[in-house]
Amino acid sequence: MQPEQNCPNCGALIGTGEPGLPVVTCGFCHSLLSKAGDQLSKVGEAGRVPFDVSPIQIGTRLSVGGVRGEIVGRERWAYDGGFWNEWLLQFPNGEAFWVAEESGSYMVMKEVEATTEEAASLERAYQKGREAMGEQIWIDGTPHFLADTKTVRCIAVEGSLPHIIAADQPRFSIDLRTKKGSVVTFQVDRDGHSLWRGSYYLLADLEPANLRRFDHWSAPSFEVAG
Amino acid sequence: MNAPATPQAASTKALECPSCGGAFDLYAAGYSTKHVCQYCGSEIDLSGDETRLIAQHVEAAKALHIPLGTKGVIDDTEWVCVGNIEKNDGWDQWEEFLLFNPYHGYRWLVLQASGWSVGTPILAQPAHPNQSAFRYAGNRMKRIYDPAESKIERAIGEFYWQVKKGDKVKSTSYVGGGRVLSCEMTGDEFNWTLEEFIPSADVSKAFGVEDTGQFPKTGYYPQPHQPNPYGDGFKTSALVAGIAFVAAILVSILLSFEGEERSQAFTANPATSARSFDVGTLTVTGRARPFTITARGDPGDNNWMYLEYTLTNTATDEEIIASQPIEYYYGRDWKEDDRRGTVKISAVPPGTYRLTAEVLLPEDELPGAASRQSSPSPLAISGQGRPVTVVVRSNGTFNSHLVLLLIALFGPVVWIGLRAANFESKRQSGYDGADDDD
Repeated sequence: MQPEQNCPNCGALIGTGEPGLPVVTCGFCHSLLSKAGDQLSKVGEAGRVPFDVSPIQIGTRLSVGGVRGEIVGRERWAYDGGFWNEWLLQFPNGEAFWVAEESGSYMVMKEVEATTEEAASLERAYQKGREAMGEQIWIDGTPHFLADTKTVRCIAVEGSLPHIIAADQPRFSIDLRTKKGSVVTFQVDRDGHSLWRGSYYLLADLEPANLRRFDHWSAPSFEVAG
Repeated sequence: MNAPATPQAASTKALECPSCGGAFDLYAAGYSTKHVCQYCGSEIDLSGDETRLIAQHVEAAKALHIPLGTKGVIDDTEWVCVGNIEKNDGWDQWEEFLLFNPYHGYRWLVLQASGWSVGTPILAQPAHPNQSAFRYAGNRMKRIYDPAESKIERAIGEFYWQVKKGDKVKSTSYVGGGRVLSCEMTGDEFNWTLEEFIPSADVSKAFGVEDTGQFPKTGYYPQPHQPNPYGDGFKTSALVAGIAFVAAILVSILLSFEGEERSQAFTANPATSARSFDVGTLTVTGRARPFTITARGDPGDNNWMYLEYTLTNTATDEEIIASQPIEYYYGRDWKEDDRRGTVKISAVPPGTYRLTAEVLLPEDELPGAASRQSSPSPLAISGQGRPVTVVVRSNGTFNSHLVLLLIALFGPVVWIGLRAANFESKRQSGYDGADDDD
């Protein structure tokens, strides 16, 4: 067990952080802290995650594909006229998924490698922008429909994270969906492009435990104990 | 399961309209990006750090059928009404109430002229909305409304997108398996919603609001997914009538095994005067029974004979008379064979009965015919005996009764079937391309 540490900026107790995740935030002064060995150093501002009624919190446990993981961090993303949460779901073996939460649905995503052809089709769609809406692009042998395109920015983070996100760096994002609900997100930012494969879930499908509690709402019957 | 001291977060955020100062609760904080003040209609952007007035309006507040903040339970889940949209596509005007639960997300409660439905946003893309039909969850979904533009006439409350009055939304709908799939094509997104019918009385009960009623009380045609009120009745009544009819046939077959049977053979000879014979005596007990008298005789080629039955109650001497012609005629390319015939007597009251039969022959009507050689054909066998056998049974089934039963049983089925078809035809008159048929 790592020793609990204090925030180098404000002195508040940070906790042990997540092993293997190099970035942690201070819940008190919202500093973005980088871990190098035992040393914590401030690398920027984490921003304040605004009040929301997300049922997920750091410490919520979810199942994906029969494996149980725990939420250890969150990124808050915004686009012109909207926003959503991306929760980092860490598994005991060190693997991680991102769980994107938007208007009550949950997309569990993992980064995948695009073939040269797929990357070329996606680049073309990116160049076309909104004109490409509804187009069909073959990815991994399956037709995907282009469902959403937008420019997004990360506005705040909390908890433990795998990387430092530069604040207010625009990222172009294309969502493609299959008929069966499988989702691919193609992202282009200054660091290059990446392809994420995900599937939509209802919260109940993820067998959640340790959900957030609200006054005036009873806990859902699908919440599990462990 | 949960520790008693589980901290509870607030579920609402109290805000006030920057224009009119009216207080409102934000129910879906973190999801809602837009709020339209229910008091003055001013538009407030929630997507930034601070609430920001986008457009100031001074509009009279409108009383919503389900007021914002009203909670109700649908399918065991509690929902709060957070928004209301009124749409118009040039043909129809309808309202959509946005429902929210932090653990279950969003639902739409749609109020149309003909009634209500519950819409669940679906995450999959079941098809491209330019398709006219496709399969979804085991059903063939057929387009009922071509892509058409509707206009948002009013939006009040909080929303997870930047909705505003005057926005135009293109949408198309499909029906299959008693459910509707609608696709909204808003600029850069296809949003599919699965709509299920909900009785207006259920909405009224869930939210404690007035019952709006539904088709046929309101609207001109039923909703695409409104259950046909005669559909189940048709199936049930057809099944019941079918079972009853089969039972009636079985009972009549069983009854035919009951009762007594007597039979007697007799030969009428034109040369002698013996014409009458006793068939037998039968006793009817309990209830009245039908009698069946069957005769089989040989009148000879191109000839006839005639049987007259007398059923006599041995106690009262009351008589029931019946008759039976027996004929056999043929030509080169035709034949009329009535050498066998059955007479039914519908209800013979209890008692003991003797049946006698009298045979009439052509020779009896033509005295001396035996000597007339000018018409040899019918008399070709004159001088020979004409055998006849009569069988009487104190039971019998009446096909005419079964026909009446058939009409009595299936008449209502046909009537209900017509009502069901009428409902469907009204429903389809509301669809686009209502003349198409496939």
